[in-house]
Amino acid sequence: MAIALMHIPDGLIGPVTAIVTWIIAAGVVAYALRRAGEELDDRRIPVVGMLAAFVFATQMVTVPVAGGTSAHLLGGAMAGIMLGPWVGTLVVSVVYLVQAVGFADGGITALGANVLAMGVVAAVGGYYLFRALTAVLPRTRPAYLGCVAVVSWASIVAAAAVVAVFTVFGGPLPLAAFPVMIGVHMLAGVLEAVISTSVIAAVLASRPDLLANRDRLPGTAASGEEVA
Amino acid sequence: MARRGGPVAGFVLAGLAAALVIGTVVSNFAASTPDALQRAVIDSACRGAQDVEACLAAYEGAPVLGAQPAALFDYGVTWLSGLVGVILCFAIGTGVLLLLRKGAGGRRSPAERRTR
Repeated sequence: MAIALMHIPDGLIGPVTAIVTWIIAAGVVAYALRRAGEELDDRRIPVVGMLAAFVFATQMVTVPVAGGTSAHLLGGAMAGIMLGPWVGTLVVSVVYLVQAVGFADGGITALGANVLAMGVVAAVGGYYLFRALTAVLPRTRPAYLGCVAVVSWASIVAAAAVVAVFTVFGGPLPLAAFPVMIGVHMLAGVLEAVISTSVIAAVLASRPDLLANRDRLPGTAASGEEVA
Repeated sequence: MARRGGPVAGFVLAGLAAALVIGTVVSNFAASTPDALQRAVIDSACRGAQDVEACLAAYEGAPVLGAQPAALFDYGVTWLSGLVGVILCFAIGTGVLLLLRKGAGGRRSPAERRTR
């Protein structure tokens, strides 16, 4: 039984794509490890493991979306917004590693592609999109959470597009897979947005000091200066 | 900045508790309909195929590099999968960073060097 929203299994990407994505993903994760080691103070280290565990658990819960398709949280954008792009990348990479090695959820040969598409694109891309959006909006709670929702939705659609690129141009799927992947994930993104926004709202209410993007928190000065 | 908010034990425990409940209890109610990538395969590649199942199997059957290790665990027993996965993710996520920190020779909180 495969429980995966869009994890690429072995066989859906070609050998060249598998090798190239593995090499790139390994490089990015190595960089993320270094940056995470620099950025994290000791007390935030267990938060990384906790968030990985949380993302793993929520990825198990598939919900029917539309037309006989199911979806679940990816959590990449949520991790990137909460803990920054590189720690966020690390969080989701741990999840995909455990899923691929432990549960054959997503192929091992496709692990690099999965980490890039659903991890790096969502966590790094999501982080910078969030920075860009919050830069021009007032520092209020609704604006902050609204940006979380928009970025979470966009991250799913972007991840789906990258998965489609890997499986169509680097694998056996026909071009017709593109509109299907994008279409389904424009709906799945709504679920992603609702859950990610709820989780970040809870953290915002309880432990805002643990969030990255402290200069963008509601109530901080809009000048871009960090208030801390 | 390290002073603000104090210890994170409560926060981490609350998050882990939520992860365990979701992974071991809520996951039992997960839908088993095809995921979106499977749907994309069915809808596009296997459109009009006589036997959609066989068409899917043809795509997913062969591992790319001829190496497809069997899963160590599988999702067969949902609550156990949730428990194992949650523990593994927490252990690896926390462990790799602790090792890294140890390897860095105990430099304390280099975060001060670069603030965002």
